[in-house]
Amino acid sequence: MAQTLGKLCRNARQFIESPGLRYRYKQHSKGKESRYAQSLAQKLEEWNAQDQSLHYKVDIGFAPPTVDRKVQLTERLECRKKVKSDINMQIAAKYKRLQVSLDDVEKTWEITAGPSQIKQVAEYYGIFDDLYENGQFLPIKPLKINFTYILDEEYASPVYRGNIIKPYEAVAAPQVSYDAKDDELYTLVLTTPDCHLTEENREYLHWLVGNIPGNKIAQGKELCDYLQPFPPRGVGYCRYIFVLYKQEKSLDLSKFARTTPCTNLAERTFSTYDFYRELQDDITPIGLAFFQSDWDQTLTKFFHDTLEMKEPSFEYDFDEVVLKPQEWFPHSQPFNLYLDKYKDKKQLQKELLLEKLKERHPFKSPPKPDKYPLAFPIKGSYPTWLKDDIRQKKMREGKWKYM
Amino acid sequence: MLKSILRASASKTGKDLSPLQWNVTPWAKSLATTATVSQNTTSSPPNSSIVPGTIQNRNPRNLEKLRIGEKPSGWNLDNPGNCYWNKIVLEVSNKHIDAKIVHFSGQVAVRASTQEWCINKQLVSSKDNLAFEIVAKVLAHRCLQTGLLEVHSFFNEEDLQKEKIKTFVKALEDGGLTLKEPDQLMEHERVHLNYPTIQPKAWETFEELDERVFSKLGKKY
Repeated sequence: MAQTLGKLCRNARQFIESPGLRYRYKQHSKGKESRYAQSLAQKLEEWNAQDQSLHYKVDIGFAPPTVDRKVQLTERLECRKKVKSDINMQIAAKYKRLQVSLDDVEKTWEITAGPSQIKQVAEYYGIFDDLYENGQFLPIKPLKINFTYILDEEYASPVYRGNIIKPYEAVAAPQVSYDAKDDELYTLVLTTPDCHLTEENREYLHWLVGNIPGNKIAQGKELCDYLQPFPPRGVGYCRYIFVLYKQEKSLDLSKFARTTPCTNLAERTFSTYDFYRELQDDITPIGLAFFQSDWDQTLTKFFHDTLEMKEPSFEYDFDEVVLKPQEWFPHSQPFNLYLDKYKDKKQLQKELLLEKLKERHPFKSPPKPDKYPLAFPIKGSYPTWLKDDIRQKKMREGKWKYM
Repeated sequence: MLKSILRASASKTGKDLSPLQWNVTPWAKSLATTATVSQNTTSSPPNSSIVPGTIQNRNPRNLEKLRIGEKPSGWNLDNPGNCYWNKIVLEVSNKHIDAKIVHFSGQVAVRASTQEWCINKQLVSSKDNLAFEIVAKVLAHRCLQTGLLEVHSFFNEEDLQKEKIKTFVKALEDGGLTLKEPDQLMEHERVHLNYPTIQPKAWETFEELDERVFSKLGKKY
């Protein structure tokens, strides 16, 4: 007995250790060893790594103004000391009565952390990629831009860094203000790199004012008059970017001049990259502000009357569905579902919409759904597949989900 | 009296449209056809000659705003995972509070911290309840200025029981920031069933125009 057991064990061990075969009890190491194995995040980092000698951005703007750090620190420490010694302030802070105004915070922010944060947001919105390709700049000059419009009162829509402004708010040219000395010259450009209707990688120029003395935009030379944003319907949110350039000297920008008034979109085609490349010795970007805009109903009239064209309308181009080639006699497939798979999507949408319209009155609100829709029996005799369809419709399942 | 307005309402939530606001069925619109526009070398072609083909919106944040953009999915076994577009990150160190809005790719969109002089100089303590409230207030204001109206938060019930984080979250919501991102409109759902939905889609849904605008500009729309 012992002998046979021993033999069995030996045989079993041989069985297990036999090369090239996998058995349940054998220990298998899966994947690489722990010292070589990478997590998905590490793998992605490796795959998406870009060669730093090729993918780097050139700083085309001004350096931040130098601040004597010692002086700044002593000033700030004094400020903190005052606050610590102020008992009233401490009590107010403890009982949450201390008022902190966001305007004060923003005023200081514009000078201190503002430029680097504006640059960060610009990178988040891909602005440098689309305007300058491989350039970037620190927007050291804070820009205050307001679109004013009158409804029942006068309203102002400020432009910050990516906030949403509707086209009806931006019909008239905005008020732009920034700190500047009178002997300095500036150029202001408003472009949109998104949704050029005919060309790829081109922008539409909405406003170009050159040789601005100080901050008096009205006294600058308006080379391209202001045109309101017109993001086409269905395209989503387009970015509208203000860039302020500081000029070294008075420039002849007649090459970039457009007819006044300019409503021809081909004439308004613009490339910031080419514009900057030509004038790079004489202008430097110093200020940046941008907003996002999407379609609203006033643009229909704008396209028809001002631009004198048919209003374009878009929808998102989803990837094609990959299906097996349709068979004449599909085995074990419910015929109605199979045929619906290969039907034209627009046709299917039309049928669904017509069914929806049957239940809706154009002037009344939609009917309230029954609490227990299947409590009411389906009248009439129908084939099983149709009964299933009617049941799904009542329960708002499957294709009827968004009725 | 000039009133300054910073848009704070979330528009694209995919809610059901009332009957009068339905958009015409998609095929009635001009379907996307590829066409080239022949350009005159001497003079610019008129706008009416533009035949819309497929155009590209290069705004990297557009698809996320329309709810079509992808949220990184498939990390269900990770806790808390990263199924979001922008998340709020609150780092509390020994001396300072740092609140950030971070995109899933790692880019920092908005930041507010007590390390910044503009906030620090107004505070007595940089870590008490008031500091959390002020940082949240400033962050919410900066988010609206950046166009970020909805942000994902990973604060769970346990976190929200702490008083400081409660004040932080409340101040964010009072500042106009919504701490729940809308769901991604999943195209694969439609593909699997292959039934195109007639759900109002974000790129077909538009805010109702202000009545005052209509009265001012006339009811020709």
